[in-house]
Amino acid sequence: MKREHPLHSFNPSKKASTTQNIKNNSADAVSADGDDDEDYLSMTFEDPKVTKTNLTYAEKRKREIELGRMRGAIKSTREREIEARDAGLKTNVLTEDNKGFAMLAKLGFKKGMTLGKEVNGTTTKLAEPISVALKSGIGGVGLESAQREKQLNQSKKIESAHHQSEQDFRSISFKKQLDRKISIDLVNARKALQQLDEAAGVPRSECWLPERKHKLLNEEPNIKSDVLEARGEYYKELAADGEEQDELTCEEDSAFEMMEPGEKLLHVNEKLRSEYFYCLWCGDRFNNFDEMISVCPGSTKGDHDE
Amino acid sequence: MGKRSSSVEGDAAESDKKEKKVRSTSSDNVTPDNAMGDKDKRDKKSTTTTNKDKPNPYLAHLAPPPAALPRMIPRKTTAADAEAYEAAPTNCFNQRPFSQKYRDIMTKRRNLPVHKQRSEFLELIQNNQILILVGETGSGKTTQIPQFLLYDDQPQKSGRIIACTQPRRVAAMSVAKRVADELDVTLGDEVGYSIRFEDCTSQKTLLKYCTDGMLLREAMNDPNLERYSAIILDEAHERTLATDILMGLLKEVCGRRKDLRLVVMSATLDAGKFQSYFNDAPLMVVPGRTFPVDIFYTPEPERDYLEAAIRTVLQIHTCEDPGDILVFLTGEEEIEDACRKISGEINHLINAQPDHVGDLKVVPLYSTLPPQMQQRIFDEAPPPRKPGGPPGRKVVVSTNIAETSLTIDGIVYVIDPGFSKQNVYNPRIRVESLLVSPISKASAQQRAGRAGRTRPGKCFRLYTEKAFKNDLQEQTYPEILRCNLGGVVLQLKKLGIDDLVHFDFMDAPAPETLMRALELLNFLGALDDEIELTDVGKKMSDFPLDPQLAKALITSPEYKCSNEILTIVAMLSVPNCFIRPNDQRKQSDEAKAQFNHEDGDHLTLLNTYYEYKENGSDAQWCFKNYLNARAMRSADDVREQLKRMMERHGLPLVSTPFEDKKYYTNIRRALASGFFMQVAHLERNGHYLTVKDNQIVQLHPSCCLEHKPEWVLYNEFVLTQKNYIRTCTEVKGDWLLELSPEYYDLRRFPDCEGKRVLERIKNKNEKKKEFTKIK
Repeated sequence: MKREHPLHSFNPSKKASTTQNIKNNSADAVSADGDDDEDYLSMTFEDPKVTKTNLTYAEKRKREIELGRMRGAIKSTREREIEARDAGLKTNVLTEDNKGFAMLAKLGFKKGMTLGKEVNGTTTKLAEPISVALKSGIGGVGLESAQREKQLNQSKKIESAHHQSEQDFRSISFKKQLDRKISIDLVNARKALQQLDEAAGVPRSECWLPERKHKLLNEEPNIKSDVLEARGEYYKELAADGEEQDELTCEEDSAFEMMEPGEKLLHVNEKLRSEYFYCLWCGDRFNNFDEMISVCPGSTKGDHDE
Repeated sequence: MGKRSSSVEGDAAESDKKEKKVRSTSSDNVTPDNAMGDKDKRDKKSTTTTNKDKPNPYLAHLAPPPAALPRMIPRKTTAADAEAYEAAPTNCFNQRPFSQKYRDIMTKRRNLPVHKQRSEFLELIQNNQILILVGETGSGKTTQIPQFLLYDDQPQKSGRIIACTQPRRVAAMSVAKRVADELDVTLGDEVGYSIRFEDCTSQKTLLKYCTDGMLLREAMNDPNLERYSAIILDEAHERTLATDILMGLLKEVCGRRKDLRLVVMSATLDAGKFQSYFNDAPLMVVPGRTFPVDIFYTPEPERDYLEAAIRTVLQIHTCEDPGDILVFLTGEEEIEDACRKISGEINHLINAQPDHVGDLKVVPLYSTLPPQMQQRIFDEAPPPRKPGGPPGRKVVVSTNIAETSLTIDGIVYVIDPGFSKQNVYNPRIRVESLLVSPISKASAQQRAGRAGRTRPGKCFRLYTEKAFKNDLQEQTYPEILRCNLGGVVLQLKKLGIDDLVHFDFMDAPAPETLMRALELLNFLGALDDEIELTDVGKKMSDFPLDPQLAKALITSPEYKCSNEILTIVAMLSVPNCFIRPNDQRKQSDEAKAQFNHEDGDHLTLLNTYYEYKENGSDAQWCFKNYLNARAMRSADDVREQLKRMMERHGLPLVSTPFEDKKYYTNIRRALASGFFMQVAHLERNGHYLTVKDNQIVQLHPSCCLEHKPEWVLYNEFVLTQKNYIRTCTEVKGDWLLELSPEYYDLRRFPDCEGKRVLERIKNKNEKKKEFTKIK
């Protein structure tokens, strides 16, 4: 394309007056230092100490800015831009020192008034400018308010949990404690029955520990259970395993599996006592029924506590 | 001038008299003047009811067929009368025989829903000064109502014409063209249009379509709008700035001029607001031609609305019956992105299941798209790839211009993510923000309605029903609450409205916005401290420009550069002329660089215009250089119009010789005389601060400045994701002090580096002055 019109010669002689050049260079120097523009701050660190460290000036400067930013003392241009904007958007400019305000006042306007006719007609009367709301992210309409509501609900839930009466809490935790004890006894009882059955050559029954758990326990008999005992998960695991077993054995006979843990314990304990004269809580096998009756305080755990 | 206005008053008095007479006849039925006409009518009526007064067959030769047309008394006509004239062999407006085309159109017109209510309309408007008319899109109100009034008012007799306003230039032009065809007259004769920088009317004009802004401009020189017997404000629901001001103004004029009739037309059902504003004016409702639309909400809020929109397009395409899709998104970039993603996904689907998925034509639509690309929205949906295969479909991805401005037939599915970009001016930091925000309920309804234009449709809202109820405001804020009022205040003052604080706004803007406008006009010297228009202000108000641009233009002769400022102002008044297609960014940037001027964007615009003229205003040349030929052409038109206005005001058109080293400096100084309030100073840490408001801003990426000058003036400060100043040019600190010592009164200046710099300049200048004094 030919460009001969005088307007297109773009006047190279005019290219950046000297003052511009200086400005330009200083601006370049700033931007060459890195992505941060806070060069004036660097002046404060330009003292003899710098020579003691092995850091270059630029590195030192960058580090200081970074440290300052971490302390919250120095903000990025972007942060300051947003801050200044938010502050500006919040500041009412209807102030006496403003020329425009003086003019408005001459027209009969007083602070706190709105524009428009007083009687009928005007419907919306803005007292303040429409707020500027920057949408952040790609969320759809209502996402933010839904999230806010969710948070609100959650904090409410936590609060209501706090308010639950102490009595409630005690009874619940007592029940938990009891359940846990029963479960421990049940495992022990089933383990004992299994050992006794195995010794007597009785085939596997549903009263034994479920197979997988049984193996697991065999590998690490006590330590494992001790460790797991501390954690509630152990029981969950057990329950889950029990359920699995349920599915596997349900074809044979699920009468035992259908029982509550307490009932199961009763059932296994009954078996131990009648078939092997074994008392779970004495931890002993008696020679016969009579011996058991005379030595063992009773057939429940409570009997042994006394 | 005085003579003319008195004659106009005389006319008004005369017509008032006539009006009174007409009224008295309607109550008494015995005024000799009109007795004849009335009797005619009564006769006609009675023939239809009783058989007593049959026309005498022996007198038939006295009334040959053409004379059988009923006598029309202005404002006393009936629908039947008008229809008789419409069916006559000759056109009563230009006395030419009607064409066949006219008759073809007539049958279509008779089928429009509004036609059934012609009698109702005439009765209402004959008995009321103001009427609110609600008609959904497709009712035919924009084309028919002005014609109903035309037959009733008969401006050819009274000499007062009818105006119908439109918010958009394109609509004013296209509707005028259509109505000229319907009336079988030449566009520009009996029916014309008038838009900014283009007047297509003549002495013969009886019905004029114009933009609301144009009517407002006319009112500035004719505060009672004496030229008009009836004014129709169309699309009033859009609540443009000019329509709002016109409503306030016309409410007053109607009080002063009882003969003026006003029809306010709206497409939405919030007519109650208009009714109560116009002192409980009666309402007429015209049903539209719309079909029911099923609305679907999402069960949960969407995490990514764009992704959700794309997913919904694919679901509709694979699962729903044939019918085109319209997706509403927020802006050019987002739309182009979505179009690419949809095309990609569809190709995958087609490759995977060629027998089940038809072709999908993806068409973007936004206002900056070149017109030939915009035309693509009217393309047919693609056919099945093979006979009996799955049908093709078209999807239009659009900004909210498809919400009201443009109607696309064939749309059956609408996807509405619920966002749009809204322009909001904030007077506190004087920023124009263009931000994505949730739409209003009214907008959402309008969008849904787009699905029911051709048959029952479906609208998929990508938000929950709860969000619709709680998170969307009822109505979109009207423009008057969202814009800078600088220009409006100047116009109101010119209209003779002095009590700006108690002006009858339909919705009143924030006091701070009005304060900023007064402040601006005062510093520009357009309003004095007593809030009266100065001579400069009167001149400024005559130019259809922002006050800053008008001021720069008016002062430019003093700087010997009015030719150049004229060009720059014209270039700033048209859409951006630089095209930057996504796939050709590098090439287009290189093309733009040819025009770059090192001192700023304003001078770059000047260069671009000169190049354009040098190359013979050639569209092909524009295309090669990534320029929008349409924008360049309209810049040329605008420049011509403004030039005439300059001449009318006796402002000389001058230039500094190009060889003079002050050539560009003068131009920049003239610009600064209008824009000294829009200046930013470069701080030592490398960013700009806006003067007085101390906002951290950056030069917009499109800015041509290669270095960072100490002071820049900017055409606009916009907030998108960052604070940007756009269209910037270098200025000097001492010019600012010189141009407006009041605005740059350093005692009232908030502390900043710029203030200290200016203080130094000021001290230096004062010393210099003292020195010269001593000498």
